[in-house]
Amino acid sequence: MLNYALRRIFMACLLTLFVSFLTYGLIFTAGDPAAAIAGSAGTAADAENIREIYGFDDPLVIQYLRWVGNVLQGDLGNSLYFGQPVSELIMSRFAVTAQVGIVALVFAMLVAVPLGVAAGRWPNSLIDRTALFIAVVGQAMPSFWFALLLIILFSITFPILPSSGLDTWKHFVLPVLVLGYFSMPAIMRLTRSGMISALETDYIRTARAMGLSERRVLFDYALRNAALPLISLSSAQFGFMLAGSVVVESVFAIPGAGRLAWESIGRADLPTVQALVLCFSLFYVLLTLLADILNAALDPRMRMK
Amino acid sequence: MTETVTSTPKAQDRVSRRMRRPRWMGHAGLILGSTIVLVCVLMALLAPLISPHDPYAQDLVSRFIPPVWHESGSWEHVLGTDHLGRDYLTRLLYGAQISLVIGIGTAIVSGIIGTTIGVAAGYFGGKIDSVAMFIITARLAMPVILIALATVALFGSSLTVVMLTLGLLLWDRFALVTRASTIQLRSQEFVTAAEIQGASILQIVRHEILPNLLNNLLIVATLEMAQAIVLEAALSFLGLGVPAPLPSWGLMISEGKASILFEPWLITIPGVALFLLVLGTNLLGDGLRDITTPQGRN
Amino acid sequence: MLLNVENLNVVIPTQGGPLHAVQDVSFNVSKGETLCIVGESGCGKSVTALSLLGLLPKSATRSASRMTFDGKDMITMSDKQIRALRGDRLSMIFQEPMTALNPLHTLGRQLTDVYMAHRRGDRKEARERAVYLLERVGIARAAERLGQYPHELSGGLRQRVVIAMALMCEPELIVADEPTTALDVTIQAELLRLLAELQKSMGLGMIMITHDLGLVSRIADRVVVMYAGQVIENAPAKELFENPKHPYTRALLGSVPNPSHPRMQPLPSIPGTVPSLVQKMEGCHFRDRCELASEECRVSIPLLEVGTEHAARCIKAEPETSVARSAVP
Repeated sequence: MLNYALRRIFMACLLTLFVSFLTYGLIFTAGDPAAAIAGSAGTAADAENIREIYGFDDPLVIQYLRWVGNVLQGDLGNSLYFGQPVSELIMSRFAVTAQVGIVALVFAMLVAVPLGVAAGRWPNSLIDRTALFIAVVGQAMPSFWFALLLIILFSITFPILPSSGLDTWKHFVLPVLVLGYFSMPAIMRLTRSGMISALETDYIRTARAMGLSERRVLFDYALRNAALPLISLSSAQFGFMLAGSVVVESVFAIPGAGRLAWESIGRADLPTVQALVLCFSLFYVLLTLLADILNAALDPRMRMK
Repeated sequence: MTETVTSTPKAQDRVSRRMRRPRWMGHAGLILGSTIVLVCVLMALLAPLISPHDPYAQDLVSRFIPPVWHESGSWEHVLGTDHLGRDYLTRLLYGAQISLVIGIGTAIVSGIIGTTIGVAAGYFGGKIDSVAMFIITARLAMPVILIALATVALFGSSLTVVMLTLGLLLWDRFALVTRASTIQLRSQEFVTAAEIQGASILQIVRHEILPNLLNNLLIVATLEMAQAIVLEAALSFLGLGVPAPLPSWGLMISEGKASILFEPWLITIPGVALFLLVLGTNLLGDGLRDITTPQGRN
Repeated sequence: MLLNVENLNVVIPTQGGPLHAVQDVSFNVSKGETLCIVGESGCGKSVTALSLLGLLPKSATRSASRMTFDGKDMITMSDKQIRALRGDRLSMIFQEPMTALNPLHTLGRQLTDVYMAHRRGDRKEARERAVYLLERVGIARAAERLGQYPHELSGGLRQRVVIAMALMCEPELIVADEPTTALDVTIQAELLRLLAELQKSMGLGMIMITHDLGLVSRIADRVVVMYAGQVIENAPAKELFENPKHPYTRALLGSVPNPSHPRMQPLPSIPGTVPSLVQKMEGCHFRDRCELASEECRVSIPLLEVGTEHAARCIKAEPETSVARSAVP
C-alpha cells in the first residue's frame, strides 16, 4: 500500500511539472515577454534592459528550470500588474474558489446521488426517466448562459438573490447552483449504473434471500459498492469545477482564482498566469491522488496489496 | 488483481432481459438529436440565402428593437436587433456556421491526435502505453479553459486559432476510447492472423483495427463536437474566443449581457440556439451509442 | 407438510416471446425430509426454487393453485411478509460461493445482519450465534474469522459461511440450489456430508436442487425429476432408482457413467436437444427424443400414478417394474 502511494505521489509531481513546462513553453513561443512587460510606452532599449534583467535571452529549458527552482522555494514570481509576489495574491483567491467549489460539489452530490440511487433501483420508471432527462438537459446547458438566466430570474424578475460578490450566504446560492449542476449529470449517471450493476450481483441476491430489509440492501450493501468509483469521479469533477470556475466567477464577479486568471490573461500578467496554471493542475493531481489513496484504503480487497 | 466478476454468466443472462436503458429512448433521442443537428446544419448552409439582412450591417437608428412577439416588434426584424442595430435572426443563422465549423473542425483535429495516441498506446502497449497514459493524464490535469484563454490571448483571436487550440486540447476522450478498443481488438484472433501473415503494423492498423473503431469514433466525435461548441461559446463570452464582429453565439450573449435588464432576448435567443444545438449533438451521440450497443449490455 | 406446492407456473417474458419456465409443478416437503429436484440445465429447477422465495425478476409472472408454508399462503403474501420468512424460517443457498458474499463487509457483519433482520436481540447475541455456527460448519478459529473479508477465504470456506448464514435464525426449511457444483470434488463431498449432518441434527427440511444423480441416491428421501419445465417423475428415492418409469428418467439413469461400462464403447446419451420453452409446447415435452413416442403423446399428459407414492408423466410407463441399472457411484 505504501509502495503504491509513493509511486502515485511521484507520478503526481512529474505530471504537475510536465503541465507547467508545457504552459511555460506556450508562453515562451507566443511572443516577447520583455515587450509585454515594457508595455506600449516602452522603447526598444527598455525591452532590451528587461530582457537582461529577467534573463529572457536564455534558452527555454534554462528559464524553466530557474522558475521551477524559484517555485520550490515558494517564490512564484511577481505579478506584472500588481507588483506583488504572486503567491500572496493567489492564496486568498484560491481559498474563495475552493470554498465555492466545495459547497457546489456537496450540493451536486446531495442532489445527484439520491437521484442516481432511485434511478438505479427502479430503472425505466418515471423517476429514472426524470433523472436521465435532467442529466441530458444539464449536460447541454452552457454554464454562463445558465448563470445569466438565473440572474434574470432571481435577481431581476424576482429580486431575492444577489448577482455579484460573496458577502452573505445568499451570494453563494446562484454561483453554487451554476457550478454544481454541471457535475450532476456525471455523478448521477455513475451512481445509477453503479447501483444497477450492484443490484444485479449475487451478493445482493444473497442479502435479499436472507431477508434483509430493502433499505439495508439498497444503502448498506448496494450503494457502498457503487460508491467506490464515485470517489474518483467526484475528485476529478471537483478538479474540473475549479478549473472551470473562470466562467462562474466572471459572471458573478467573485474574487476567486479563476477570475484572477482571466483578468491576468487579459492584462498579459504572465507570471501570474503561469503560477495559476501550476496551481490548478497541482490541485487536480493532488485531488485524484487523494481519491486513489482513499479508494485503496476503503476497499478491503486493495489493502492486501 | 482482485477478481472483478460479481455474478455468474447465468445470473447475468437472467437479468440481461431487463434493459438498462429502454431501446425506445435510444431511438427517440437519436431521431430528435439528428433532427436538431440537421436543422442547424441547414441554418448554417442556407444562411446566405435565407437571411433577411447582412449580419454585419449596423443601423444605429434601429437599435434594440425587440422580437416580433413583443408589442413594439416588427416582421422586418423577426428576432429583433442588438445594440448596434444588427438583425438578430441573421446573426443567429450565421452564428450556426461558426458553431458548426468550430465543432466539426475541432472534432477532426482532436480526433486525429487522440486516435493516433490511443491506437499507438493500445497496440504497442508497454513503455509506449505508459508514456501515452502519462500524457493523457497530464492533459486531464490541465485547466482547459485557462489554457485556451491564454493561447488565444497570446496568438490572437480568430476562428482558426480557436479551432486549433480546442483541437489540440480536447483529444483526451478520443485517446482513451481508442486505446481501450485497440487493446481489446489487439487480442482478437483476426489481428493475430494478420500478424502471422506478415502484414505490416500500418496495414494491420488500417485494415483490422481502424474499421472496428469507426463506430466508437463517431460517437466520441459527436460528444467532443458538443463540448467544443460550448467551449468556443464560453471563450467568446469571456472575450477571448472568436473576435467581434463575428456572430458567434457566445459573443452575442456576451454583448447582450450589458442590456440584460431591459433587453433579455439578446441573451435568451442565442442561448436557446446554443443549448438546442449542444443538446441535439449530445442526443445524437448518446443515441448512436445506444443503438450500436449489443442488446443486454450497457 | 411444511411446504406444499401445487401447480406452480412461472412465465418470464423475453424478446422471443413468453418463456414458460415452470409448468404445473407440484411437490411437497415435510420437516426433516430431503427432497431432491433433479434435471438438466434449463429444466426450470432453479426458477422453481427462486419462485418459492419470491426472488424472481419483477417481469416474471408466478401463479399456483396452492403454495403454502406451514399452512400460510405464500402467493398472496406481501413483500414484507416474504422478507420476514426469508432467512428466518425458509433459507436458500446458491451455487456460486465466490460471488455470494459482499466484498466490502466483514463476514461477521454479514452474518449478524441476518440475525438482526429477524430477531430483536443485539449484536452481541448475533456474534455469539455466528461464532457458534461457524464452528458448527467446520471453520476453525471462528471468532477471528468474523473480522475477515470474503476475499480472504477459499470457495469452500465461503460456502460454509453461506451455510452458516442460512442457519443463523434456525430455519425450518433450506433450499439449496446446486451448492457444491462450483467446488472441487473433494470439497463437494465434505460439504454435502456437512449439510446432511446439519439437517439431521437440526431436523430441517431440505430441498436440494442438483443434476448429480449420485448425490441424489445418497441423500434424497424423495426425488422429483424435471424436464423442460415440467415434473415428469416424482417418487421416493429408493423407488426411483429401482423402478424408474419415465423414459427420460431411465435414459438419465442409463447415461450415468458406470465403472462396469465396457471400455472403448461410446457412452450412452440421450439423442436430440431440450425443446425451447418459449411458446407453450403441447403434449409430452420429451416426445421428440423418446424411443417410445407415438401419436398419443401429442396431447397434454398429466401425472399418472405408476406405483405407491410414485407418479410419472408418461402414458407408456408400465406399472410393472422393469430392470434398470442403478446409478450407484
